[in-house]
Amino acid sequence: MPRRAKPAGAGPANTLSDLESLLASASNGDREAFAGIYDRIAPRVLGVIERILDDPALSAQVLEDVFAELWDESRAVSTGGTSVAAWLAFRARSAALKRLTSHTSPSKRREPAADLPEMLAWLPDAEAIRRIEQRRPLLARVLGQLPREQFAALQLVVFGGLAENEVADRLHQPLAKVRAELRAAARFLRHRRHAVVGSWAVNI
Amino acid sequence: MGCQHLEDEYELYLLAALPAGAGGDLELHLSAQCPNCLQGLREAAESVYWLIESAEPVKPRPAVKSRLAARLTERNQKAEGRRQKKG
Repeated sequence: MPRRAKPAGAGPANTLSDLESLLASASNGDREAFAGIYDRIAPRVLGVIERILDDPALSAQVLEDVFAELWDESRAVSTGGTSVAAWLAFRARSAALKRLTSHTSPSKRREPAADLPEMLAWLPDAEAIRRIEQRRPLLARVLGQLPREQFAALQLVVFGGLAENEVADRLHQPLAKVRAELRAAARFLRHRRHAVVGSWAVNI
Repeated sequence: MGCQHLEDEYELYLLAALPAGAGGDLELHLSAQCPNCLQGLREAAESVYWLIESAEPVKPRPAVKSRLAARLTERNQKAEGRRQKKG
């Protein structure tokens, strides 16, 4: 059974505030700057990986791979203007899900383009992530407001890597119902994110 | 381009949750560099980031950082070796 998100699971927003300048230095070969990125954010990245794989030894390997990839891609990520935290979050999820399904035949699904130039077209920038991080406790509460069925379906997608037809099979629900629930969840989160991160006054 | 019917698919597309046979219309818009869909995808990526980041942090063992450092050193040495060969 998927776990419910706990509120306020992370440190202050400023923990991540200088990741981009550290990456700029790392892209010029500064290993200390790269270690600074690791120290600030590795627990979060490992949290994502371990939530997916539920295997500490394998998760540590994936964590190492993701950071080695960041080192290799540091120049492109840095000059692309994207948030380092966002790049790591998406890459960690993707790498962990790849390990999770490496022993099974992957299902056919629409995948977003995973090449860096394509990702840079939609990955959030550092300012967008800073706004989210400042409101992290509120956003965690919003997740807790999702109806139970929507939350369960969403967790299977985010941390189980299931496509919506696979979620329907897993939950023994009609596909149309699961599709509707996932879209309703996405709409709810979009609306609440705008409210919490945007400038509206909102009471959550 | 009319994109309203695609608005609910951005998050699911980024999460690779749309099965083959669905989401084709969105890909058409993206391949045509549809500005509405690209903007929608950027905003959806913020929601998806927030979802992924709902996982509880886990502190890595110190050995992971040491292994990573050794791996980067090895990569740098190999790259340096290649540069010297070329030079």
